[in-house]
Amino acid sequence: MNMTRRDLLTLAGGSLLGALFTPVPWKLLDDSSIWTQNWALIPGLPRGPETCTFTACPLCPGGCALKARRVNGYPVSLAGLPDHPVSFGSLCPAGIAGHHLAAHPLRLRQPHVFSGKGPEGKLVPASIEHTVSDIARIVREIQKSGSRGTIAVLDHRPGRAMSRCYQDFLVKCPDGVYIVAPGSEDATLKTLRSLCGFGKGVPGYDFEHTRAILSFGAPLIDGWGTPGRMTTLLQTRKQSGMKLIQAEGVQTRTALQADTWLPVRPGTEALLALGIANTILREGLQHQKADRTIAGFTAYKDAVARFHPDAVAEACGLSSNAIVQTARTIASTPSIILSGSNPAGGPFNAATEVFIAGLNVLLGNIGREGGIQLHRDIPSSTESPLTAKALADVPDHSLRLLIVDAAESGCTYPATLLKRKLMQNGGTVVMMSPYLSPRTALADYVVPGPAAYECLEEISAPPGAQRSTFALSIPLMRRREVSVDPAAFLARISEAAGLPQAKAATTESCLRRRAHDIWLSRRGILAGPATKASTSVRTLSNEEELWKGFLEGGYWIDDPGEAERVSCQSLLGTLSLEHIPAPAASGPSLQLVPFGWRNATTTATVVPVMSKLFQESHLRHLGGRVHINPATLAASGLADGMPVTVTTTAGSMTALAVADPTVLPGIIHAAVGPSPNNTASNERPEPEGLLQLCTVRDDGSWRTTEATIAKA
Amino acid sequence: MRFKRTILFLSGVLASLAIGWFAFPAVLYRTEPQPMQFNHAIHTGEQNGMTCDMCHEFAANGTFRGIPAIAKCAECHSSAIGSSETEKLLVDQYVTSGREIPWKVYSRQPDNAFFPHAVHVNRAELKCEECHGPHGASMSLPVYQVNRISGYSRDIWGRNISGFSPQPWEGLKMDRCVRCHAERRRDDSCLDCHK
Amino acid sequence: MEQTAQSASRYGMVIDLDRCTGCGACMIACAVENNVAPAEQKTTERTGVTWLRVYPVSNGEPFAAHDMVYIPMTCQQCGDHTPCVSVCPQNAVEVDPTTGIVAQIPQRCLGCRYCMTACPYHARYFNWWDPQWPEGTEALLNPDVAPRMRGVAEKCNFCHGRLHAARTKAAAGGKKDITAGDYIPACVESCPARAIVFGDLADEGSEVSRRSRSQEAFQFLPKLGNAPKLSYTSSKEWVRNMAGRVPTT
Repeated sequence: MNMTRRDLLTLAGGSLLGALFTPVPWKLLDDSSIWTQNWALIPGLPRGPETCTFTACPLCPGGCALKARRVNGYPVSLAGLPDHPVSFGSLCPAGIAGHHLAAHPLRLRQPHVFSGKGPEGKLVPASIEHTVSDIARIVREIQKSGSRGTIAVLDHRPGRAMSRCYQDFLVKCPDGVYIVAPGSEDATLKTLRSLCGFGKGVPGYDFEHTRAILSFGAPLIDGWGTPGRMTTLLQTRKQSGMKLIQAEGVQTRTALQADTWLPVRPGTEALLALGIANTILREGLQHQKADRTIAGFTAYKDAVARFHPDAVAEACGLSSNAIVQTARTIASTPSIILSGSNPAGGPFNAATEVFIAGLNVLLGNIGREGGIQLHRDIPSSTESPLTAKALADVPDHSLRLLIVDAAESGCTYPATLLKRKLMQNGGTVVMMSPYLSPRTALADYVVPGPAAYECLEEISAPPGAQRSTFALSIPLMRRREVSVDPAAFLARISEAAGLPQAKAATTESCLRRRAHDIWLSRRGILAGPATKASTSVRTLSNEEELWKGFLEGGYWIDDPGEAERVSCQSLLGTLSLEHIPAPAASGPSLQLVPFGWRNATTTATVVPVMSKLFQESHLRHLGGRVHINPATLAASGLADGMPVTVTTTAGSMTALAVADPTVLPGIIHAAVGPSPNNTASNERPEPEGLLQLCTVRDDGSWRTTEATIAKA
Repeated sequence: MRFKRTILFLSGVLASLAIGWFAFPAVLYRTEPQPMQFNHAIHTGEQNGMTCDMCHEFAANGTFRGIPAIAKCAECHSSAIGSSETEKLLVDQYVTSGREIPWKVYSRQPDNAFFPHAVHVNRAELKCEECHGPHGASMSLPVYQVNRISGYSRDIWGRNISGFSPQPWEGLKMDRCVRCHAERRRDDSCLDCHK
Repeated sequence: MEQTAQSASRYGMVIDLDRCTGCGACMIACAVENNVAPAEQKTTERTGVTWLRVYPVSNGEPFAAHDMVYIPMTCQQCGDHTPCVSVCPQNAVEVDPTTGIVAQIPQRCLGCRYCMTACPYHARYFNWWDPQWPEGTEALLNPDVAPRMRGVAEKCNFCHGRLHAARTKAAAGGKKDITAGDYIPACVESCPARAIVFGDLADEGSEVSRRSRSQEAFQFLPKLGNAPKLSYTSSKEWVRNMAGRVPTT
C-alpha cells in the first residue's frame, strides 16, 4: 500500500482527534502550569517541627529581649516581649529582621587579606593560620624593638566580658592600649563623671520618675534607647505630666513628638546651654545648696552673666522667651538634661558637653529621684586591668597594630578619626567584622566573626540604664560559614607570639567567668523569660542553675543598692573659663551636619529587607543625599533633585540635593546611610560617603563642618 | 483500497487513544522506592493494637506531624524487637544515629495550600480513613510514583490517569476539598485553604 | 453535619496617627511575616513591594508652623463595592465571607494589573521580577505564607497565616471560636508605640469598634462609598482634613 502525503495527514488528523480524547493535552497543560509555580526561581518554604526560643537581640547595646519562632531549628520570625522588665518590649526595624543577617549578601565567608588599602584595595582570601602568624610576627617585632608603636584594641561595646578579655590580652602585650569607640558611651554621663565624684557608681537616667527632659539632639524615640522603653515613656506623658523639650536643628521624629521643639542652630548649642544657665542663676532657680557644694560656683556665675538669653537668642536662632521658658521648666521639677546625636553625628565638642551636663549639676539632678542616679556596676571578682581611652585621646600616628572588635555600637564615625591614629608607615589594622562594611576599607586583615544569632553573645545593660543587668543572646542557628571566635583568635595570637596564655580561650568561657562573678556576689534576681518567674540569685542552689537560667533566656537584674553619695561636684571640670565662647552671630557659610539612623549608617548590619524603608519608600533617607531647606536651596541657585558638589576643607563630593522643610535654613543635612543600588561587592568595600567630608577636631568631634555647595 | 482514508483516520484515532491512555501514564510517572518498607498492619492489628494518633500526632499548638520523627520509632525500636530485615535496617541505619528517615510523602501539597488537620479531625470529626483510605491496615507501603513534570506524587491526581477515582479516598486535588466543603455547607472562602 | 462556619466577623483596624512615630518597624515586620523579598538594585519606590507603607506627610506650612505626620497605608479592606474585586477577571480576589478580609490569592492572578489601577489607595503591588532572596534565606522564610512568582499582584491579607494558626490552635483545644489574642497581625504586634489596634468590627464592644466611632476617627476617601475597614484617628485637624486625598510621596 502506498502512503501518500495525504494519507499521512489523514493519519495525523486522526491521531490529533484521538489525542483530544486522551488525558495527554489536558494533563500536560495542568502539569506544566504546576511546574511553573514550583520552579527553582521561587523558594520553597521550610517544613518541620516548630519551637520557640527566648533570646535577645545582639545588634546594638539596647539588647531587647525577644522570642524567636523556629521551624526546623531555624528562626523564621522574631517578636518583642512587651512586659519585659529590662527592655520593655518591642523591637526596632533592624531587630525584627535580624535573623536574616546570617545570610547577608555581603557576609564574608572566610578570613581575607587586603592587597592595597582604600577603595582601590581588593580582598584576597587568606587562611586563619596565615593571618595569625602575620599578626604574631608584628607583636614580636614590637616586643623586640621596645615600644616602637603600640598595640591597641578598639572596642565598640565596652563593659562586656569580652572587653575584659581584650584588656587581659593587651596587658600582656608591650604597650597595649584599650580604646573605646566614639558613640559607645553616653556623652553626658561620661562628662558628668569628670564633673562629679562617682567613685565606683555607674550613672543612669531615671526617666520613669522625671518630670522634664531637655534633650540636646538625642534621638530619644528614634534609636537612642530601646523602642519599648522610650515610646512607653512618651505615650504615658499625659498621665505622668512629663515634658519633653527637644533642642536640635532638624525637625526629627523626636522633635515632632516632643512637647516643645527648640530649633537651635547646629554649632550654637553651647550658647543655648549657657543662656539657660544664665536664666537659672539670675532667677535663683539653681538647687538650694549649689553655692556651698559646687566647686567654683561663684566664678562660673560671674562668667555666665554675659550670656543673657537676649544676647544669645539670635545666634541660636531662637526667641529669648523660649530660652527663659525652657530654663524655668527644667528648674521647677526633677529633670534630666542630656545630649546625644544621631548615629553619624558624634559628640558635641568638649566644651558644649560640659555646659550641657553642668546644667544637671546646677539643678541638683545628680543623685535624686527623677534625675541621674548611681547604681552598682556588674559584679566582678577582678579589677579592670586597663583604663579605657577615648579614640580622640590616643596620640596621632602611634598605633602599630590595631585590632577592631566586631560588635556594633550602632553608631559610626569618620574614617579619618581612625586613620590618623595609625603609624604613618606600617600601621596594621585587623578587623573582626562578619560583614563587608565601609570601615573594612581601612583593614589589612579581615577576620570574620560569627554573624548575629550564630553564637552566644553578651547582653549587658545599655548606656543610661538604671540597674546593671546581664543576659545572653542565645544562638538560633548553627554557624554556617568559616568564622572565628574573637577570644579564640586572641588566644592563638598570644600563643604564636609567645605571650602568656589567656585566661579565657573562647567567648563562652569569657561569659561563664562573668556568670561566675554574678553567682559569687549573691546579688540580684534572675527574671525568667517573658517574666514568667523571678528568682533571687541567693536562693539558687548552684552556679549551673544560674547559667541554665541564662541559656533559657533569663535576665539578671541587680538589686537596688544604696544610693551612693556624690561628692566633689563642679560645673566646669578641667575646662577653664577661657573656653566659654563669646556670643557671636552665625557666619555666612553653610554648616554640613551628618546624620544617619541606628544600625543603618554602614552596610555592616543593614538587613537586606530594610530596603523597604530606604529604597522602596521615602520613609528613611538613602545615603549620598543632602537635605537642605527649600529657601536655602533656592538662595544657592539649586533645586530639588539636582546633583550638587559639596566642598569642605577635607575634600569634595557629589551628592543629590533634596528640598527638606524639616531642616533649618543654612544647614546641609548630609545622609550617611545605605547607598542606593548597593554597589559594594566582596572584592571592594564601599567608601563612607559624606562622612568623609567632615572635619574631625582634636577633641574627637565632627558634628559641624563649614561647607559650600554648587551645582555639579 | 476502499475506505482507505477512513481506515487510516480511525487507526490514527485508535493509536492515539492507546498511547494516551496506556503509554502516557507509564512515561509520565517515575517510580521511586521508599527508603524502607513499613507494615502498618503489624502495628495496628491485634498483635499491637495501635491507633493512628499514637504515631501521627498533634503538637501543642495544633500543628500536625504527619510523618513521625525517628524519635517516635525509637520509643519502641531502640533495639530490634523482631527478626525482620527491614527492622534491622531501621535500627542500624536510623535509630542508632538518630537520622530522620527520608520518607517520600504521598500527600505532599503545594506551599500555597493550607490544610489544618486539627480543624478537620477535632471539629469536623473526620476519621483518618475518610481521606486516607484503609492505609492503616496495609501490609506494605504503596508504590511511590512521582509526576515527572509537576513533581508531585501520583496520589494527588489519583492513580487513574483519567482523574476519576474509583475509591472516595483517592485523589487530593482542590475539587475534592471544595466538594466536601459544599456538602457540609461551609462557605467557600479562598482564605480558608490558601496561604 | 453541624454548621461549621463561625458567625461572620469583620476584622478591621484603627491606626492612631498621634502615636505613630514613623519608625518603620511595622513595614519590616510585614515583609518578614509575608515573605516579601528585599529590593533588587533596580527597584524604586514605584516598583517596590511594600504591603504596608508608611508615608511621611508634611502640612506644607513654612518653617515655624511646619508639622509632619506619618501615615501607615495598607489595603483598606473595602467592604462595599470593593474596587479590586469588581475588576479582577480571574476572581483572584474576593471578600472573605467569614472574616471580611479582602483575600488576594496571588496564585490565581494572571498579572493584568487591572486591580492596581482600580485600587484608589495604591495599596496593591506587582512582582515585576522573580523575588530574589540572598542565598541561605530560604530556611528562614515564614512557612505560613506562600511565596509569589513574578507577574502576579499581591497585597495585605491581614496576616491570614496568623489567622490560620489561631484557628488550628483553637481546634486543637476543642474550641469553636479563636481566642482574640491569638490572631494579631505582624504590624500590630511589632509597633513599639502600640499605634495600631486590631479586632472584630462586628463586635460592638471591642476596642477597635469603639475607636472607629470616636470623634477623631476618619477614613480615607469616604466619598467613594467603599466602606473601608481601616480607620485613622488624629487629634490634629489638618491631618483629619486630609481624608479627601490619599497620601503619596
